[in-house]
Amino acid sequence: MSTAKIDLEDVSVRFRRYNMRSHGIKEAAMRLFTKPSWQDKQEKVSEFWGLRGVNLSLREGDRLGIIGHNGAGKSTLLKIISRVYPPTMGKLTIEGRVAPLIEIGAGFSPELSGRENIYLSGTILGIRTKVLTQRLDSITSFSELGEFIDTPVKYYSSGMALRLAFTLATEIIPDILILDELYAGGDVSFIEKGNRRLDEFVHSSKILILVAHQMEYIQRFCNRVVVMERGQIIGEGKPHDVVPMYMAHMRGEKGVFGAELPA
Amino acid sequence: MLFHLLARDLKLKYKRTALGYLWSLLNPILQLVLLGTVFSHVVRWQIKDYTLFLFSGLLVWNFFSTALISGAYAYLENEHFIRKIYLPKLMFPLSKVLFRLVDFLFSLLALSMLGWVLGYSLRPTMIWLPPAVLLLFFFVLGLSVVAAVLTAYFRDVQYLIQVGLQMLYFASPILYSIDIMPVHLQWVLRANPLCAFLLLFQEIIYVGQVPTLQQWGFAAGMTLLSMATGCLVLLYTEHKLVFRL
Repeated sequence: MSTAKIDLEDVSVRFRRYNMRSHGIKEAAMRLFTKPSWQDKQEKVSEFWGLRGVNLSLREGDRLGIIGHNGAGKSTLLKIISRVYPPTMGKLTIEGRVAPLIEIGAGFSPELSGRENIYLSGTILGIRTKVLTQRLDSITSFSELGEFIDTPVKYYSSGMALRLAFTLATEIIPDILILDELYAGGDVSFIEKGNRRLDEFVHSSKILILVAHQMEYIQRFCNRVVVMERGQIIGEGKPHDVVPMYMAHMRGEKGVFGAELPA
Repeated sequence: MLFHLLARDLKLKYKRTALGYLWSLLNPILQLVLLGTVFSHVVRWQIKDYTLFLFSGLLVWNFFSTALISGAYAYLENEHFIRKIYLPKLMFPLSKVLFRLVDFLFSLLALSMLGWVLGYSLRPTMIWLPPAVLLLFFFVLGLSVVAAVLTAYFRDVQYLIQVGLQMLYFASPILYSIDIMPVHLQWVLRANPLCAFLLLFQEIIYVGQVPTLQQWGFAAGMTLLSMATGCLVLLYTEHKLVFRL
C-alpha cells in the first residue's frame, strides 16, 4: 500500500501576464540584443503572484476543502499539487498518484467515442490499459452511458460528459483525488450517487482535496478547511469553525480572519 | 498512454472517409503519378526510371514534412491535458512523429509491393532500409520537439514552418537529382540537413547500392545534432512550457 502525503513549504507561484502583442518572436529577439535596463522599459509583461508563501501539509485521512473568492488562488493551488505548475519559489513534496478532476470533462477528445476517451484520459490519469479494460463495464454502468459508450463524445449532453469524467476519475481510487467545482451541471440523482461514492472514498483514508462554493459539500466531505485570498491562506481549521467565519467574512465583516491583507 | 495518443491520431485522421486508411496509400500514389507525369513527360528531366527515383525521395519528404507540421501542434493540441496534469513533455511530439511514421512505413511497404507487381525489381539493398528509417525517425523527432516548443512559445512559428518547408522542398533533391546541379554548386544542396537522408534513401531504393560510410555518417551526424538540440530544448522548457500555452 503506497502512502500519500503532500507538503508545501512557503510555495509561491509567479505568473507573467503577456500582453497579446508582446508575445512574439520580435520581442524575444530584441531581448537577446538589448541591455536589461532598456528591456525593463520595453517589457510589456506584467507579473503577479498566483500564490504567495503557502504552507500546507496533508497526510492520509485528510479531506481538505478550499474556499475563497474567485481568483483567490484556489485553482492555482490545485495545479501546484497536481504538478501542472512548478513553484516559482518554495518546496513541494508529493507522494502518491494524483488524479485531478479539474474543469470537469474538458479533457475529452470530442471526435472519439466514450470508450476511446476512457482509454486515453484513463492512461493520462495514470491507470493502466489492462485495468481500464477490466473496469470498462463498471465505468459504463456507473456513468449511465449504456449504448452511448461508442458514440463520439461531441454528441454527449454536458451531463453525460460530466458523469463520464467523474466516474473515470473516481473509478480507481487514486492516492490523492482533486475535485474542482464539483458536479457543475449534474442532475440530482447522479449527484446523490456521486456523493455516495465520495463517502466511500472518504472512508478509504487517502487524501481528498475539494474546491467548492457550496458550503454543504465542504461540511459533508471535509475535515479541514483553508480559506484563501489573494494567493494566501488567511484562515484554517475545522469546517464547523471556519465555514461560519467565512460566511461572516463574505458578508463584509472586518477582522474575521485577523488583520486584513494589504491590497 | 503513448499508445492511446497515437491511436487517437490514427483514428481521427480518416474518420468518416469512405476509403479510410487507403488514403495514406492513395495519396502518395496520386502524387507519384502527377509529379511523374509532369517531370518526365512535360519538363523531361533526364532521369532513368523517374517514378522510382521520385518514390525514393518523396516518401521521405512526406514523412519529414507532415511529422514536422503535426509535431509543431503537439503541445497546442494537447493543451487541455498539459494544463491539467503533469506529463512528460516528450510524449506529445513523440506520439505525433510515431503517427506519421506509421503512415510512412505503410506507404513504403505497400508501394514497394505495388512496384514489384508492376514489374520493378526490388533492390536487395532494401535490407538497409531499417537503419535508415531509424536514423530518419530520430532526426525528425528532435526537430519536431524543437518545432513544438517554439510553436508553443511563439505562435508565429507554425506559419514560418510552412513557408520554410516549401522552400526546403525545392531546395532538396526530391524532384530532381543532385547530379543535375553543377558540381561546384552541389555543396548548397548537401548543406541541407534533409539532403543526407534523401541521398541515403535514393541510394538504397533507386540506385541499389549500399550507402557509403560517409553517407551514413553524415545522416547519423544530423540525427545526433537534431536529437541533442531537442533534448536541450526540452530540458530547458519542460516545466515552463505550461505557462506559455
